[in-house]
Amino acid sequence: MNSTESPVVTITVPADVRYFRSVRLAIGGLATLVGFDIEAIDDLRIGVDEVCAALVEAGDGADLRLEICAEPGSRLRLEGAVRKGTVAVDQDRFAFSRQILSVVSDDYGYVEDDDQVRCWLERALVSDDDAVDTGRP
Amino acid sequence: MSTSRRGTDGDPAELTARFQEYRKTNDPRLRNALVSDTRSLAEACARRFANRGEPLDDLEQVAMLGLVKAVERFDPQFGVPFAGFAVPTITGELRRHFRDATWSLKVPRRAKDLHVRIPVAVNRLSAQTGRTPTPAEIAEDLGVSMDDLLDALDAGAAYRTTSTDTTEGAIAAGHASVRNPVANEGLPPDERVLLTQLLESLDERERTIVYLRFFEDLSQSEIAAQVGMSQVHVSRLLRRALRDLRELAGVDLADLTGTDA
Repeated sequence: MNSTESPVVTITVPADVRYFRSVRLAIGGLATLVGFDIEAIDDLRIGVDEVCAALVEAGDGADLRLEICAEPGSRLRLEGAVRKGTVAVDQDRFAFSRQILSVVSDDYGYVEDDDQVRCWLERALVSDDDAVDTGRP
Repeated sequence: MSTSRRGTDGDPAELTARFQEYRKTNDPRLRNALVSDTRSLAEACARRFANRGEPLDDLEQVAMLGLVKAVERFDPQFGVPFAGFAVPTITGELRRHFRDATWSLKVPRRAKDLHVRIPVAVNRLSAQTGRTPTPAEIAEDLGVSMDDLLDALDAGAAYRTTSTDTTEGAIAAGHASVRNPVANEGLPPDERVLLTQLLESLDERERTIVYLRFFEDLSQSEIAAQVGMSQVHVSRLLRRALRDLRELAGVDLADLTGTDA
């Protein structure tokens, strides 16, 4: 993400489930700036848990570095990266996470490079008219 | 190899021998037999945590999860009897359950108080505008700051209610059965089996809500209308169900991070 194009908030938290709440709170605040309603924010918080859990499971125990790009009136993107650990994410087990992410976001991904794992989700703000067509609230 | 029930009070040498065999073979049938034969440990640990506001059935399920982990991790070379290894493992699982499943110590009183006022405001605003309110609208309606509102919304994820504002019958009226919701989802067979097993671990109400949200793509409001409960309650149940599913799927984050139970 390029900070010159849109505002980016960077959060670094320990790779520990107890810190997911901090990320959820940040997402909630930034999603409000974008203009999401309460249900969409709830979806994004669920997505935070899935992204963070995948990164913790795949990472080497080092801190999670997460970037949140919130464009008022447009979209929100959360992307995290960790150094790859010795245990890969169980893809079967990750199936349900993919199912969840496919519902709570418009775009999501999980990519393993040589020494890094990235996971992200993105959701766009839709107008009331669009919501009728897409089923989004 | 026998799979008969032998209990934990049988011959310790024989139990040790069976664990040695399991360490060598990783035979799932032997693992299951070991779990079955030592389940009295889990039941005893669960009873120790009874009368603390959680149903004994739930505690026994959590304890069994801990027992499975203990069986999978125990190595006779540790030099301790299995019970000496399993009881702390099971107890740790139960403590983690209490830590995560109640909002006793981590949620400020203010957030708890505010959380119970939110559904009323959401319903009122939804009726006025015909759409889901934004957090700003809810905060204004309740006369609180946005920070306090977001904190209270997140606090709801930790709230484990024992009361319900709906009935199984109301759910059944909408979806009589969600026994195998992923049967026709076009998923690979192994993923389908896993998802089916996971969802079957939920009670019918949670399974129905998870199915409607993540496999039918209904919004929380649509689910709320269908099953006869508030959107906030749907949200709460979804979060709880997802947390339980993640733990059942084996993503023991506390172990990965070294977090103390």
